[in-house]
Amino acid sequence: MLKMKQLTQPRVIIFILSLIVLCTLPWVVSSFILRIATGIMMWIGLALSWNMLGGYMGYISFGHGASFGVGAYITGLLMMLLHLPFFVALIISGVITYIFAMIVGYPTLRLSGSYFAIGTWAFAEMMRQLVLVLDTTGGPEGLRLPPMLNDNFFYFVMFGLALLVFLTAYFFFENSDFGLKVKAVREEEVAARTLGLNTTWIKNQVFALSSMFAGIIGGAFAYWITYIHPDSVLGPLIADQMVIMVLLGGIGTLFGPVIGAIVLYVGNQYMLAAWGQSSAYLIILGLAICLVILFLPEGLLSLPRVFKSTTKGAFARLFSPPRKTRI
Amino acid sequence: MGLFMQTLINGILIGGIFITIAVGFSISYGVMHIVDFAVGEWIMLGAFTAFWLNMYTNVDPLLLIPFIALFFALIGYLFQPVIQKVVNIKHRSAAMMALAFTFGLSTLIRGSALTLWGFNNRNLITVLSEKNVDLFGITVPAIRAGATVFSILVTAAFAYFLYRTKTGITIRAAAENKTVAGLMGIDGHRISRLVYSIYVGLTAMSGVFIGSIFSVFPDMGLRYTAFAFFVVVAGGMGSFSGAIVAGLMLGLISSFVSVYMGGAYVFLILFFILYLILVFFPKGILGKGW
Amino acid sequence: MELLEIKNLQHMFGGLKAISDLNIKVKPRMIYGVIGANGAGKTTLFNLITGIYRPTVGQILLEGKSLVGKQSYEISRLGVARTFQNLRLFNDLTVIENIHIGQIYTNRGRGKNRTTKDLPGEIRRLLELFGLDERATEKAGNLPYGMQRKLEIARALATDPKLLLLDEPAAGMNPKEVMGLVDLIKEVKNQYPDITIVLIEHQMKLVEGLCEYVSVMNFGQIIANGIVREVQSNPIVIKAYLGETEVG
Repeated sequence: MLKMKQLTQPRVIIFILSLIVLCTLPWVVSSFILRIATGIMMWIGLALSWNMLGGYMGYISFGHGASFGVGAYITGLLMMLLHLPFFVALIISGVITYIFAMIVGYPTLRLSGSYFAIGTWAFAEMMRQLVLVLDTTGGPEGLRLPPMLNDNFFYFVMFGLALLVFLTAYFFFENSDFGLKVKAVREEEVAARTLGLNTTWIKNQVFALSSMFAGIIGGAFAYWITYIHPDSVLGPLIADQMVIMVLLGGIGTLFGPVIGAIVLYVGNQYMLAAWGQSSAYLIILGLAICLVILFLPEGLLSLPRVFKSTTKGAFARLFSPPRKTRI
Repeated sequence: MGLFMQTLINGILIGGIFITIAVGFSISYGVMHIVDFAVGEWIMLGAFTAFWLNMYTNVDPLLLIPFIALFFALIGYLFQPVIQKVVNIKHRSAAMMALAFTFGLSTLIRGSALTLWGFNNRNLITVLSEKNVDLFGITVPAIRAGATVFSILVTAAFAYFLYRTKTGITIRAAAENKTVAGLMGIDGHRISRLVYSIYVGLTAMSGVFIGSIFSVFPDMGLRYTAFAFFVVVAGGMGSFSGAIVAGLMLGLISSFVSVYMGGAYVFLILFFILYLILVFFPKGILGKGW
Repeated sequence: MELLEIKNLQHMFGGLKAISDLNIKVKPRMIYGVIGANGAGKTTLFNLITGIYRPTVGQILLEGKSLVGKQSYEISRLGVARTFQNLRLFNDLTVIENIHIGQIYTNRGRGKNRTTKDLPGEIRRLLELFGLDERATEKAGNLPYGMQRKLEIARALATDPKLLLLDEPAAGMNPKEVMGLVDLIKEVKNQYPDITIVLIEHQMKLVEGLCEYVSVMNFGQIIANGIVREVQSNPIVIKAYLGETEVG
């Protein structure tokens, strides 16, 4: 358990203060800003959930959007068909996505590297096509949920979920034996196995856990926007954005996905406000991935370090006497 | 019976075109070890280049094919060092970064095309369009037959190049084992550049056929990326004979599913089979992949 | 009882026999050497013992319990640890983290709770023993090659094994470094007297300095067994293996 000494550490104090500030946000900012803040929270949660799989474990998935969509649809169906209250539907959809991911994960995780990326991508596209032809999900017409118009409610739901994912990442992936085991799978799967790690189990757990979070967030998203259709919750853009946010911020780190989500989401909303719905967003998105990978493979989080080392180098060159070169 | 035969012939003809794409894609994977998510975008760009050139010059798109193949081969040749740079990045998962890079590239190209040219469908009219030929008593669109014949010729020429010329054998050696090839004095970088260039040229060229058989639109790339993955995964990465079998299989499946089940099911079935093959036959249905 | 006993082991890759009719007996607390030229099947043997491959035919017994068909992680928890010829460290993790991961299953899955061993103390002991204490918080990938080799042994030892398999521990080392490694392994044996070590090597020097007993492999078979001195003078061995390299 937390001890008093830990509670007075500066970073813990900063963390608690920022929580308090974020809790008062609905009474401070306009509803427009609050909706953007809600979106940011949602994407922070999604990016962090993808990072568990892609960052800590090194299994790059292009199909994480499937979990989001499955969660959204299950929540929607539970609320519409069985008239369950939102939170009950949300919890059930979390459990279902977890079990679903366990079942899908078992064969899929036997693949690795590029094959895993293609496999998850194919699976996600398959889910989208399936929802398009199924009657229960409304096919291409989509699904309408009971309307709920309370900005504060959704802000706190998304905030709570983002916090949950963040704390899970912090306690289970950054500071625990479990996190070390997951990283060991990323670094050297064979060696990890010969050190007693049941890598199959570890991989399934991480896959299921990260899918569950994406599913729950998808459920909350469905209730928030009240109308879902295959392209909005199962489209490739959902997974794309998760990948890009994590790469942009810094893959395999705790704060990278958070920063990536904020930067990309705010940028997206700004573009929406300035130019309206535009395919130019895809250009920015694609360009962002390419440039980050080419010039900043460790993400924005490494920017201070990169900046420091280059300026240091420049200073050193400026002020150190010219080196004698020997031939 | 007539419908069945029609569907069968159609499937085989379309499959013929996919083979060309798959062969280039799979040999480029073999040499560079990068799965190119942008493969469909090269097809789209090839089709659009043909469309615009045809519009301004009135030269038949089919006559533009050699030019388009060479032009995109040049683009590939010039662009390859950028991809090579990504592969060489000192990062814990350079291969994954390269994969994500091509993913970003495809998003960039698709976004640019959508922004420049809108969502509209365009038709690529060639001298063969709206003409039919008689094949074993079945009437097939001349463009499909022509495209297939041409694709098979190109694929055969490429096979000859790979198996009978010195450069081709070098490429296969590099694809099978880069380090050994390096020991034998093969310049891996030059080979990679050459292969990528051939791959982009072949793929863009196939785009002209695909565009004239179906239609040309900026969003078309995604579908053909899926097709290319299907052929390469089903055939086994880097396997020439596998690509031929898988290309025909893809053509037949898509043709039969769309006739007998409906167009909405084509991708559902294809992605389902793709997923199953990946999980259960990761070396391809012939077991010849690397 | 033998600690490790391998009976009639056979393994095929496709139609190729990598190991055929192989028998080995290793007594507890021994340092046992397996020598042979490259491609003789030595690493395959280790991969079979540690469950990375599954043998086509034959038995592998650890203290009389069969290891065949068990997963790598189960075999590790029964007390078998190994290193790899081509290093397989967790490069992006620190030296301490590498060793710590080895410790996670020190209870060896024998149904008991975690060991009562002082784990952080054990890490310190291993760091000191292998001379890694000054670079304990560095990433494993940034260590010089020789230290990476040592770290792999330390990590394997952290699993608290009964049987330690060393796959060409001296690969890529110069003669001086090899002598240092001999002393190090002796010191390891000194501090962990209950451990049994099997090492694969093709450098005779290391085997001479360490092993009481050796087996010589050639084309997947054992062609000679015995005390180092005996084996070295065995004409079959000289012809098959030692004859190819400069003796001396």
